[in-house]
Amino acid sequence: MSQPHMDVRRIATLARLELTDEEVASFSGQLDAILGHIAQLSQLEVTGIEPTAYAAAMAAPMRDDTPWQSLPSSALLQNAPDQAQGQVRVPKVVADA
Amino acid sequence: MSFSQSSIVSLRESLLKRECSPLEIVDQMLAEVPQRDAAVGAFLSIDADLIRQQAQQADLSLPLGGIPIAIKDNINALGEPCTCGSKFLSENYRAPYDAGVIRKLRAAGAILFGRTNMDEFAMGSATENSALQATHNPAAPGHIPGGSSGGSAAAVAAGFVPAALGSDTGGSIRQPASHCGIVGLKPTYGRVSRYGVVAFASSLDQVGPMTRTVEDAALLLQAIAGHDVLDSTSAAVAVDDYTQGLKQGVKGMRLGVPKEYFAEGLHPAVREAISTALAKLEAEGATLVDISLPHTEYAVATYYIIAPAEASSNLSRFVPTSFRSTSNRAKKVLVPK
Repeated sequence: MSQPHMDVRRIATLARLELTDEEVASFSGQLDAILGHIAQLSQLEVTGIEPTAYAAAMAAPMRDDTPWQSLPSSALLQNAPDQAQGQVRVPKVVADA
Repeated sequence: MSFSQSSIVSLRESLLKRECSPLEIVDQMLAEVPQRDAAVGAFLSIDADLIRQQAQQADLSLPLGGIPIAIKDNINALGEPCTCGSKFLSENYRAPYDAGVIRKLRAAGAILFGRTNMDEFAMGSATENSALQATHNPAAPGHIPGGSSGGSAAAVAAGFVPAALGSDTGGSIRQPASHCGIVGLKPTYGRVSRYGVVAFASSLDQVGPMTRTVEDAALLLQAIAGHDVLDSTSAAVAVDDYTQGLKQGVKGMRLGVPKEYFAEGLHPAVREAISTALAKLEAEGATLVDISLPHTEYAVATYYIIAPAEASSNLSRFVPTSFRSTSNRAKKVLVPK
């Protein structure tokens, strides 16, 4: 099995993180070590074993469709750093064409 | 009379005998704790007005009536901060509602006493990854208290509060409780509501008690356990009486000792402490049975697939694009040119 490898620069771009060259070198080794640790799971023999999606023996129940008092929007908007027309206003995130 | 180092049980006795009032208890704590906490760093915030208000209204006829309980800072309580140990949630956020466990604590008469430090978003095992401050182990200055519920563990171990709530995804109650020498319990999944608890890994997260005695842990779990209609993953299973059987001891119990837990890398001092505890249990009449859990060696790797994947999904709501508060380094890659 080949040594697993992660492209740190690509991951950093996806995560919107700016890394220095030193950080790229440092994290590259660390992330590969993590991948190597997780790769040991592929040694496990799991043929014929039924997959387990939930550890608890519980089906996702439907809640009774009973209306009740929700939080007023004013309570929720108290936490918005910026708001307009009863909604949360956020910084521009899409560039002009 | 000093309330430092008191248990829930002993405080309740004093309260019911009218030796002290809830207000006297919290006033003494408010006078002492912030000062003593300077060397520990267990608390992120303590709102004296809110605490005194609750103490004045405390109903002693309730099971936890008049008992101050510290809350990990990832559990929403109306009007209080909920920083999750992060910088940006420490700037403006105030909880607009009570979490399920907070409703239950209030219904049981408890007084919410302060918000405890934690690794940021509960990811960490030392409480060094809080963006706000480090917490020290009260028993060993210069040492970590464990984490991520390190603030709650330290607050209880230092005698600041008789009990605290923590949350546990991959050891975040049990490990700091162990480091600080207190009792910490991760309840069975579904036993306790997570409504209003900031999610880390939803198939693993549970809220649980951190106390100085086992009896107190039973009392606190009693208060927070049970189905919550607002958390569909909480189990609709009746809540047992957890105090029943506390005095029965371990005589006749068969206790499994998984051999894989004594693997390479175990510190000799830890091995010795476990051996001492096992010998004590045996002397008290328990039977020890050697067992094997052969998949133990795969547990950590499996955890580190499940927990980060769920964290990524849960925490995407906090991506900095949604908020004004963004570090300059992040701005460079976020702000459109």
